[in-house]
Amino acid sequence: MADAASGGAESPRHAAFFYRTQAEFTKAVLDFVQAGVSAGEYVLVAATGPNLPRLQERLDHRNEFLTWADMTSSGSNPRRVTSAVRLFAEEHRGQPMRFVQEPAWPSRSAGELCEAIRHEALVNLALAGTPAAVLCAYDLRLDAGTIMGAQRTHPMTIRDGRQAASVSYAADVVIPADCDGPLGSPPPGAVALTYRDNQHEVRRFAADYARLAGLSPDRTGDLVIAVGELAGNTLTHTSGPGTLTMWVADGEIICQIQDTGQITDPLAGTRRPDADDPGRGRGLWVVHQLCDLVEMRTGPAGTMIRLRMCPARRSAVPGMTRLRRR
Amino acid sequence: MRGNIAVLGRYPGVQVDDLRLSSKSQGGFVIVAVGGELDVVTGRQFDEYLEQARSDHKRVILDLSAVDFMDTGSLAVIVGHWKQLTAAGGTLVLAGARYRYTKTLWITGLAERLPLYDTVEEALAANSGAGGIPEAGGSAAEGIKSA
Repeated sequence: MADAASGGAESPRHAAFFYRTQAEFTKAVLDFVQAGVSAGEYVLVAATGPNLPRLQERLDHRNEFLTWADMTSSGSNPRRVTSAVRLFAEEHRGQPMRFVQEPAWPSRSAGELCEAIRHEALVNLALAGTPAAVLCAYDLRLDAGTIMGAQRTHPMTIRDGRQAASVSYAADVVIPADCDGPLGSPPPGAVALTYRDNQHEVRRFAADYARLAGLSPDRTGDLVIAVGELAGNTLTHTSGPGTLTMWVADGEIICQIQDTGQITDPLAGTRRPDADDPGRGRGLWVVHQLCDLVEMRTGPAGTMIRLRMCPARRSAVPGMTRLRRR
Repeated sequence: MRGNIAVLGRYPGVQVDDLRLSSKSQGGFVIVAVGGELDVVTGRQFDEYLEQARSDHKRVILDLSAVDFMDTGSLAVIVGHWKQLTAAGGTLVLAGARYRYTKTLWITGLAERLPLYDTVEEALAANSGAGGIPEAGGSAAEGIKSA
């Protein structure tokens, strides 16, 4: 397989790799990682839970150039992956790096796949100015919509051993239309609360509903932090009220915050706050760290953010906030 | 916003919505105790209170043991005061922050940048006798105690 070698300083080389078999996947990823390590590059490998040990046993996984992340837990919310990649690039600023990920797999929900494609559209922006090679592995058993979304968001594709420019690639952070539609209405039975100054009340409301719906105390605390950040943003960044709506569906607790503000930065929520730049407005980053899935739609008419928490899941923190080397 | 002023120490304590603020001098420090929830609504009062506490103290212990909620805005307030105090040769340390209620400190990694102690007593013990700047306008009895 032609190796997607490190590109120039201007834009990352970003390829979608389509595979049919486990062996094909493993070989391609190992080749890509090993090429990077041999060239002295830092490599971030974000693989699904089952694939991590398969890869680690074939690589010197204690190599200091390798960093590992688990896509099924830490990567459950795609924007969290975007911020991890940014963090990784900053930690190795100016040095060539590689990133290989499994953004999609057949058992992911439609909402997750949508967010994964949206995240792909942002990768080039997130890594702008970094000499980086990015390989994204897609199982050909995925639905046609996701495969198409991958083709639209990657300048290059690799398939059956051949690398080619992607004819349907839409440059410049264009999110494929079918991953950019409105989120749809809450179902009957959803409960809602409008808020503005009553910040304590909106947090309490979210906490009570989540606990009743079976979310653990710890994860309810996480949800309350996320709701608090978003509700606080309504007060800080808009002059109108917001609405919190909550319901349960498909074994998940869904918490929707809607207000009249607009988020204009496509990379909003992907930059970790730090002591040198504590600046307000980092709440969105925290939200993405704490929730299993975050879906955002924003425009001149306002912003809608849906938080999903699955009671059966454990918290992903600190997963992607501190990348670990093994 | 209701104001419920109670004099609990050197500065008037204030209660706004779900926030309680008080302060006292000890061991050459001003200990600012915060209780309740730090959010966008209560954060402004918190910021002003810290500003006031800092105006004639260069060594501050922020006692967060009774804080039940803290958002990134309030964290930014703390970091802002910490940076200003440190730049002026002073000290600001955090004591008693409970992970469950102030998790944002850890998620953001700031818990490793800011000086954190489990208790006010530990904060005092760790920072005593360093020879700080005497409080402006303070009485002799409130001057810096040496270790």
